Amino acid sequence: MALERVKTGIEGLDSMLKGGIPKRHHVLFAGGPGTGKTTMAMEFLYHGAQAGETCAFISLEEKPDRIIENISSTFTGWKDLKKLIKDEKLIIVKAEKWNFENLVDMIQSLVDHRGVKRLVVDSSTLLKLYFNSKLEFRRKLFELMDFLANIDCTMVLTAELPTSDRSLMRHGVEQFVADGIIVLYNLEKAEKRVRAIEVLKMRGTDHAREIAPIKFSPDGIEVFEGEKVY
Amino acid sequence: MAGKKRLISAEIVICYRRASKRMFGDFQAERLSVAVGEGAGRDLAMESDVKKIAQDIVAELNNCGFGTVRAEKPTTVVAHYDTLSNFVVKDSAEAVSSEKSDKPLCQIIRGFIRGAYTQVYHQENISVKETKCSAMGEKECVFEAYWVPM
Repeated sequence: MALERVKTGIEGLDSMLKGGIPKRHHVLFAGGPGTGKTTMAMEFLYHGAQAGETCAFISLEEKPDRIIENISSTFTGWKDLKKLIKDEKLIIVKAEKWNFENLVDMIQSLVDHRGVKRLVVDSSTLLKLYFNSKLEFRRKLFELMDFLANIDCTMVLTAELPTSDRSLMRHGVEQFVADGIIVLYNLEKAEKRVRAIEVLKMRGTDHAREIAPIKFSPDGIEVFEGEKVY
Repeated sequence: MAGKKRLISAEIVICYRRASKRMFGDFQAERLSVAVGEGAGRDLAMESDVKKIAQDIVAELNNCGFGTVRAEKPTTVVAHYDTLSNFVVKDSAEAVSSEKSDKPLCQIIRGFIRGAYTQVYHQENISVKETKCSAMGEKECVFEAYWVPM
């Protein structure tokens, strides 16, 4: 049986993923500060909402108003963003800090009762602070992923990496639990910074192995698959 | 609406919870309990409104055999939001049917209250915490419902 996929709608990325993220997978968008994790996660939802799916963004830190403001100013071409929010095709909510139970309640409620098919939790770095130990975080994350695997929803978790330097990256617990990892970089090239993307892991499917440059345009992120970064 | 028909029966859902715990483990059983409670709470709220939802929650939980329930004045008030009631349950069927525990156990009731409030307000930023549970040795179970400020 052919693997069902969820198109990210991000130009070039779906091609790197050989058609999109496998349905019901839990994927990590990881990267250093300012690499565009939240923005890319929002674009994943935006395209889903445009295609008629109900999508939800759960923020553990930023207020929904602030998120909408940032996205509107980054992607000025998204003229229908506010309408999608008003029509509740794109739901943006803030979960209570330090309350894992509330976060899971929210996820369950959004999926079961609002019919959410694409979900983003921003960010797992903050989620980690809910727990006293790495072991407890890992156990809860496994339970959450296991629970989500049984429902018809594809989930993206964002994760902050302490550095954009590929050689210095350390992988956290969530990277081992996730079905897929997409890493965003802000690399140094001839005294300039170049944004780039890499599909590090994607269970159950082949994917591009090269790092590709990316560009933020008013209509969204463009991935230049096959072009050289260095 | 409340009192006219039973949306859920405490005896049956507790049997389900025990079976699901045995089959799928603690976490999945908890989530199933919350889901059952939330679904019923939402159904109740469809025929209620923000003014009488607290009394409907009380009536329905009493009617369904979840214990002796009363609503109390909230302790947490968030500016610009309506206040949500807290609920106190004596002899909670969920707690009574369980062994002693080191964590709150009444997930069906918790889900029910959250489901009712999220449906009636059509807002997801509502949290319900069981702050006292008789399975932990407390006299009564206490559920605090409050808004998560956006």
